[in-house]
Amino acid sequence: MKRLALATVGFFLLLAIFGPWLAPYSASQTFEGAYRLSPLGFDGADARFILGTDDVGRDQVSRLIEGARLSLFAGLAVTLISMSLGVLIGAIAGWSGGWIESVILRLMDTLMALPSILLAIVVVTILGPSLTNAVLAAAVTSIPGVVRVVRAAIAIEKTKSYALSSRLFGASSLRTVALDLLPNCMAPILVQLTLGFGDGVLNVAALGFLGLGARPPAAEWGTMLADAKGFIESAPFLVVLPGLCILVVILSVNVLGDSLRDRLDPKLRKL
Amino acid sequence: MKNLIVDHLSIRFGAANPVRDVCFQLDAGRSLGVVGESGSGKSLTALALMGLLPEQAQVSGELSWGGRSLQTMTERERRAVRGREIAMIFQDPMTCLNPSFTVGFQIDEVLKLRLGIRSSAERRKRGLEILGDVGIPAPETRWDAYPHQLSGGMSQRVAIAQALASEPELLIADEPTTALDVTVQMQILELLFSLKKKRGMSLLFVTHDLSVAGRLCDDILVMYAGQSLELAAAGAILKSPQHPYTQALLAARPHLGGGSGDRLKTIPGSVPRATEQIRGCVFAARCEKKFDRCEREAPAFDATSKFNRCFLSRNERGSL
Amino acid sequence: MVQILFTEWSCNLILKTASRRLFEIGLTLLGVSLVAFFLIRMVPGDPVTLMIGERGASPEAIAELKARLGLDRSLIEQYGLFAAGAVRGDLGVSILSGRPVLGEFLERFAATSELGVLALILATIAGVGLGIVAALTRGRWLDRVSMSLAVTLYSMPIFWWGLMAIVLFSVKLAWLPVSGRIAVEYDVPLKSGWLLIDCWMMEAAWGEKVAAFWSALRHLTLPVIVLATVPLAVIARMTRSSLLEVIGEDYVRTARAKGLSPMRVIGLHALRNALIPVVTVVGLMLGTILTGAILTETIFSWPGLGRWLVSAVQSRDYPVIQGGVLLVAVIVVTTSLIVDLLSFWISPRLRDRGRS
Repeated sequence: MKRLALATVGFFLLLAIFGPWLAPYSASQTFEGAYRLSPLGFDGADARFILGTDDVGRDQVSRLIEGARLSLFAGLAVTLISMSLGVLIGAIAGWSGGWIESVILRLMDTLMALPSILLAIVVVTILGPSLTNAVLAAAVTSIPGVVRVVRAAIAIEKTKSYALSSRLFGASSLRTVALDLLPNCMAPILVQLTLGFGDGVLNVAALGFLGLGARPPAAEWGTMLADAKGFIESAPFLVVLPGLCILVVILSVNVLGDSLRDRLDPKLRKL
Repeated sequence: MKNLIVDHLSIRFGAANPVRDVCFQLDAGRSLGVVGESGSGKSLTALALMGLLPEQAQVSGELSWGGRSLQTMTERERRAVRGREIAMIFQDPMTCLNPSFTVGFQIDEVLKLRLGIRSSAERRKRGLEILGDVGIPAPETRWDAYPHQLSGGMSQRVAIAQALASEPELLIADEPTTALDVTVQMQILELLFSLKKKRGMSLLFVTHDLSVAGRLCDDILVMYAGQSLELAAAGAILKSPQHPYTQALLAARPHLGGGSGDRLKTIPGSVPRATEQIRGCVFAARCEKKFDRCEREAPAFDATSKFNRCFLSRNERGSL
Repeated sequence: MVQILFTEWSCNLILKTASRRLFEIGLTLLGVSLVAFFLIRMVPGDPVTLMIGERGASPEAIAELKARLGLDRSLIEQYGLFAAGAVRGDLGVSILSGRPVLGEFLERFAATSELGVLALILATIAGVGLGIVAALTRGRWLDRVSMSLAVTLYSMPIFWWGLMAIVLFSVKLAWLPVSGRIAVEYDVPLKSGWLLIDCWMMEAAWGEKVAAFWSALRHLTLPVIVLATVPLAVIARMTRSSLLEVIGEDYVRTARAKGLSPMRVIGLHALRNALIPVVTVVGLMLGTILTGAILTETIFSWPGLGRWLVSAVQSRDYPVIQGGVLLVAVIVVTTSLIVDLLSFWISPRLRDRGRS
């Protein structure tokens, strides 16, 4: 299960990185007369297009590979942004305690009291729909979760004697947090990082699906789903394939996250 | 009333063999102190008697209760014995009571489900009586208390009460005072043995304290590295221990009135690990009196009479 | 079990915790009102221009409309008016429909809550069940199958899952309807807002009531399943790990030592304690359900809160956004308060914590 997940993530990462060399055609190239062809093995298939074509005659394989690049890098960007900001804010809250912590926690409560998709929708509406802005919006909505995890971990670690002794030896707050506390909070942070990547891919795709992410003709998986919605009866493959890609990627990432959690800290609850 | 006979009990978890060979007999109405260091297999032996070992445990040997084999019983028959004929109390009373239910509820369910008392008023009356018996002052006020509202000593009294509620013939007490304050330990032990006398039940008292067991129990079983080494009447064990391990244990006790300069005697070396394969006597590596044969051959013994597992005491030194 | 629940001290403690939480909730709601108010005003384009701008109205007409909507005042003033109204329970009227925001919200909320509550019930029952099965068969194939299922459901992009459900059950098999709350031929007057209830209250023959109920139920089936997917998985995983943790506890061994039946040991002694963290998780799932509702409602054309708010963002209907978001936040924080009190109620230890 774990190996399969690792192989799957690796496979999609390879597609994402080497996509332009692997794809049979360009993602935007249209083929006259080859509209909504079925994948090989079904009626109305064409040997040139293994997974068929979409409504304007673009090769599905090429578009899905392009989609891997867009979706995975978008997920990665979401994770990096939300993790760096979240770890920073969470560490400040957990270390300083007192009113700073209260203010930060109330702020995070505020963000969590808003349905995350709605928040993302408003942010994208402000910035205008594009993949970059969808990434920013998804990052904003996933910051509170990271902050809470990091804050809780730091708050526990800072009461331990090694943190105290580091301060007693005259280390600055920054040094203590960055060099002593954070490395000891790596387990929950790493787990959060993995799961956050899956969520990032999912949220960007959801925004794409709502027409608020990457703009057509971009081949982002969520956007492809939104495009294909209208052909749900005539060409169900156009709906099945991009979603299946999202599911498989997120499933693999979550399986990896689970096993990472089990390995790093078996006491962490499976949420 | 029933006798308990344990014959060549061995418990394995994969490669580990924490209980290697345990034999003893506990006659109805008597008390047996099972004494050993931590890791000597005494708690596992107790759990085996209850049928509460983890699923992975491979048990061999014979456990006989009133002439019936506990091993060949179906899970259903076993459950009829467990808690009803043989009850058990555990080490840490603070974690052994269910935090979500009141004291009354936990005693009540025993009376209702194990004794089959239909009337709830009758159950409450019986339950309060038992709480009184175990020395809980003003039982009515404790009936609706939750376990976390009780002190350690009170919790252990409650645990004893719920074990005794089903009127068992044998009570197994697994280090019932280890987790308690020193000041309450003796109170609980005295309570336990007076209840044993009053109810005429048998008592299997697991402890690491040879002096306490010697003072309170009829018989003593000394265990080491998963083996029973010596079984004898308490007085005999204290006065003239036969097995070198028992002798060393007694020598390692602190004495009142000893000079301040006297150092406590210790037993050199350490207990063999549960995964270790031992060919000869399990104590040979640390024994002051060992000779060649001890490391080659395991001393034999028989289960039903008093015994000790040493070549010396049987004058078998010269047989090779 | 319940008799000492409301003894004096536990009651006091609950009140104390509740009042501290109420204060925090007040702060959170203040924050939400600020975020909602200012964020939506950062969106380029204002409602008046969007409404009449394309028709080429005169600048005077636009200014007059803005004045009528109070949009000519300073932002601080506008927020003050909004906040003062909100405290009194007056959230203004929708720019688009001219109807009070609160009334529109309640109508939409009824539709969303019918979906959400049923989804939460389904997720809880199925999730707890799946978690128990997995915990009891730990390490065996049934456990592996259950947990693989759970992680798959947990990873499900529900917008796609909804489309797949439509393809399979509505298009290919034609078992269930594609969208809406009820078939068009039934005109059920809304009283509670829940069609499953309202259809019994309408003036009609029995046969028609049953038929309307059946239709409403069929319309609910797919969206409820889709919405329940992720919470179900989370609850199942939580139940499993919590139960496994509890089964190793000493008091469960004690319960077995008392010779109680496995049913009672697991079903009562272990489960009662294992469910304490599950209750918290069920409460947390409310946020997931509200987020999921926005996507689910889009897919199944369900006239609920999600679609209402999304279209309000698109038309810059300020009162609807700020009022609607505030009300959603009220629901979220109230539920989490209720969940906290509930976990107090089911855990005697929590109830007493801090007493000393």
